[in-house]
Amino acid sequence: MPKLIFVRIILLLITLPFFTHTASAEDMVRVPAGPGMLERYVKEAKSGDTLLLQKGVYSLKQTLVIDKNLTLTGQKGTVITGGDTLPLLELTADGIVVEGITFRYDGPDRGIEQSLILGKGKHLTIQHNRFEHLLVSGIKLVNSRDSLIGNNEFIGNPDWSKSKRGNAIYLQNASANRIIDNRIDAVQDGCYVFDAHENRFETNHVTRSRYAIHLMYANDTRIRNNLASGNVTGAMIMGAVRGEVTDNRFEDHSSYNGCGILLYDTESFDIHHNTLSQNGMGIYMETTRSTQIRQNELLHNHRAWVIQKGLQDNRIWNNNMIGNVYALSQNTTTDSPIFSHDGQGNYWDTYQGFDLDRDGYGDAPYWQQTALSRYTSRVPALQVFFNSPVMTALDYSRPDQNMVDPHPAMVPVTIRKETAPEQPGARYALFISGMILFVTGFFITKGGIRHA
Amino acid sequence: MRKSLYFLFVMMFVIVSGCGTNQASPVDINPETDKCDVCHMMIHDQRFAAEIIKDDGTAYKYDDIGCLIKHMEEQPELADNTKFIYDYNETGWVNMDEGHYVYNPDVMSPMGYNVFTFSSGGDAQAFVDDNGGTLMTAEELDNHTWERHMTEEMKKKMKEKMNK
Repeated sequence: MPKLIFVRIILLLITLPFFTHTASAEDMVRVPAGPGMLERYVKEAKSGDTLLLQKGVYSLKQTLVIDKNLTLTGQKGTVITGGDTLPLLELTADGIVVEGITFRYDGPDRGIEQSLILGKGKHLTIQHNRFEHLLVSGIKLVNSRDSLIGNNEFIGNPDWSKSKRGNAIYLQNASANRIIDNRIDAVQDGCYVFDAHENRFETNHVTRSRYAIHLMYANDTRIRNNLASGNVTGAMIMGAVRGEVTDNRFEDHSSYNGCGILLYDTESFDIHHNTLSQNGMGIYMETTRSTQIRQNELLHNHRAWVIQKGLQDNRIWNNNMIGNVYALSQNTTTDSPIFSHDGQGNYWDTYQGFDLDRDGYGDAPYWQQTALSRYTSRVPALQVFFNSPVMTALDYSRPDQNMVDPHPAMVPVTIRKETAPEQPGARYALFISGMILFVTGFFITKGGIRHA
Repeated sequence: MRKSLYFLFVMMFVIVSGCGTNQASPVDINPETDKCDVCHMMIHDQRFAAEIIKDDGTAYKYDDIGCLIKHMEEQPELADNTKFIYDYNETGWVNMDEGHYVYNPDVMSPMGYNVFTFSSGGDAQAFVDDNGGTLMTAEELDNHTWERHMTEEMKKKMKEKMNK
């Protein structure tokens, strides 16, 4: 019997840490729906409290400023609205949590600078919410750090002019935030980042908007595992230094000026393992420096690459270009071919050379098919001559062509998935979990046998 | 005879009046399709839009007056054409040579050049009264240093490059 008590104490001690974060009943306050109720309960709450919002509409007459560490938890059917009051919530304290609430804006177009939630504190968590009628921005973080915006849904309206819509998420001078697993539809920019650094955008899904992710003067940004579809441009990267764009899918940006990834005035980006398909342009580069682009698949785009002036020290290798109408549109000359690195080129399905030395790379370089792509960029109507004998003859005559890739691959490059960096402490957590299971199982088994 | 003379007079008037100089006029911006000819951003905020209209009717469009200036630096021959900037208060297009301007580094324009255009000096002064900034005439634009907003790191890098 004493051994059984000992076993129970051990089990209790082991499992205790899992329950310490659960809020006690005293911390949780139910807030009845209705005018003025939320303001009253927030005013009376003390730091650390959890306010449980009920099903119903909480209508605000003015901006609700939350200046203490509270958790606002809604449930299905919890709505916060306020006519044309903006922002609805202003989060000025650190550590505030807002979750499970629908925010609805009922006012007129007030521009992207206005938002439904304005976050100024640090370590904010804004998750599992829904933002509707986005004629203004959904969440704007200003001077915030280390915050999480996750699993939210942002709903605009595809019938509105893009210039009238708000952004879903707007970061201004806000650093080291994580923007994860959000669903965004029909807004202006899915994520607009201005003068904000070290932010992470992962597993977001952005559709029917202007730019899925828009960086302006944003350094050390990671864009990973996102899906952007049917926008004007997937990733619009301007004035940014250092960053990683990896494992994303940018597809169906097929409008007049649609683009998968657009790089303008950027430096030191690492772009790899992305799939860019059915875009007007796969990747556009202008005034880009020290950037490496590798292991990407550019499939069925109108123009896979558009290369413009101002390139310096870039390297592009081990990418697959398959089924594009034009593989390359290059309106500038570079000092040396940029589509090669350490003797490795790219796979171009339009390459027609041979590999007599069987090293896996064509014996002759890949040349830009200039004639039609160059002329159609100026006179689109000339596309009627696509694949015509005249244009083919012009291409083969090579009057003014650029040598593009000195080492074109003969077969598609194998895209090797890089393993995601292990989270710090993940191995330790796995070990602890294993130990708990082992110890628990051992004592239960021993106890069970004895009682039998 | 008199009828013939009258007809001749009318025809000459029509011909002469048709020989006037072709006055360039601005073209509308379509925010759904138009993009800046320099930075490729879509022109969504008409308050900052700018255009160069060539004599043959070709229109270059910009999302920021700074992009227009940059284009003219790259292609100086563009400076000979008519240039229009949209009024910040959205009253309409302003001929660049007749505009009134405010530079305020703390109020952002789409590309961060932060120069705002007004059709009247009074409106420009009102903007300065509300937001601060420096008033400029069209002539003074030539002496303005066209610098984009830059992060501290970018400024540092640029300084390093200049010192090399």
